[in-house]
Amino acid sequence: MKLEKSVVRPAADKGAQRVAAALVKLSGQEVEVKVGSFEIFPLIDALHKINITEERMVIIYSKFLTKLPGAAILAMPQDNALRLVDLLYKKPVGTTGVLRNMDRDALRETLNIVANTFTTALSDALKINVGLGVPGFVTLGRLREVVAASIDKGAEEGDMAIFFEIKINISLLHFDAKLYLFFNHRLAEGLVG
Amino acid sequence: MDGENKKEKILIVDDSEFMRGIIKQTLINAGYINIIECCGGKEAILACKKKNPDLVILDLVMPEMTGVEALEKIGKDFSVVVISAVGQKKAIEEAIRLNAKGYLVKPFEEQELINLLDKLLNLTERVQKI
Repeated sequence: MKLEKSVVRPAADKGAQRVAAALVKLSGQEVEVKVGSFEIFPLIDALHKINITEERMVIIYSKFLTKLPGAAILAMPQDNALRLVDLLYKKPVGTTGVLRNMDRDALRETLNIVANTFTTALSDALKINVGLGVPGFVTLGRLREVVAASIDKGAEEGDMAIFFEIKINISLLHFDAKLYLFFNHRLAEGLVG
Repeated sequence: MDGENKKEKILIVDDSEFMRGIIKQTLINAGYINIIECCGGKEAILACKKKNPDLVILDLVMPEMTGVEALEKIGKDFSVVVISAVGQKKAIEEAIRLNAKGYLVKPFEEQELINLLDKLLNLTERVQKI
C-alpha cells in the first residue's frame, strides 16, 4: 500500500489515541495526545528533514526488528523529559533535576512504548510488518550518522519516509515530542503483515 | 495478607528495570510473593533451569538474546506470558506458535495480567473462594 496522507493520517490519529491510553496507564494522570505537523517525504531527504536543533534534547532511537533500513526517533526537550520522569515515578513535578540511570531506563521504556504504539498503528494501516528493536539513547551528532547509514542501505529515488510531531498534555503539563519514523517503504512492502 | 498470598514462583524477564518494577508491583498487589527477575534471554534460560518457575513473564525485544529466541528454548517446558511493546499481529502469532500462553501489549492492564496468571496457574477458583 502506498504511503499516502489519506492512509497515514487516520493511522497517526489512532496511534495518538493509543499513546494517550498508554500514558494514562503509566502516569496515572489525565493525558491528551495530538498529532501536530505531519509529513511524508522522500527517504533520501531524511537527513535534512530531521530538524532537531535544540542543544538540550533527550533523543532515543530504535532500529527495525526485521533488518529493514530505517529507524524510529523520538526527541524531547530535556526539561520535558525530567518532568515526565517525575510523573512516571509518581513524584511531585520538579523533583528530578538530573537524569540517573533508572530515570533514563524509565524514559527509554516509555518512549519505546510510544514509538511502538505509533508503529503498530501504521503497520496495521499499511498492512506491513514492521516492529521496532531495542531502543537506545543517542547524541544529536551520532543521530545524523545513524540516519545517514540507514539511508545508504538500498535507498532509491521514490522511497518515502514519515515524520510526526506529537503534542502531549499530561495532567495539564505540556510536553513537546518529535517522532520520526523513516524506513524504506518499498522494502517494507515485502514484509506483509 | 498472609492468607491471600500466592506461593507460585514467577520469573519476570525484561531488560527495563522500570518495566520489571511495574510488573513486580502488579504481582505483589495481587498477592504474589515469590518473584524473581532477570534482564535478558540467556539469563532467563538459566533461571528457568535453576529456579524452575511456575510461570515466566517474558519481554520480546531485548539485547543479546531476544525473547523470541528464549521462548524457542523454554516455551515447551514452561508457562510463558509475553509482555511486549510490539503489537503487530505477526509478532503475536509467532509468540503463540512458540507456545506462549498469553500476549499482552505494553503498557498492560493490571487486572488483565492478574486474571491471565491466575487462570494459567489454576488459581481462579482459589481466588474466588478468598
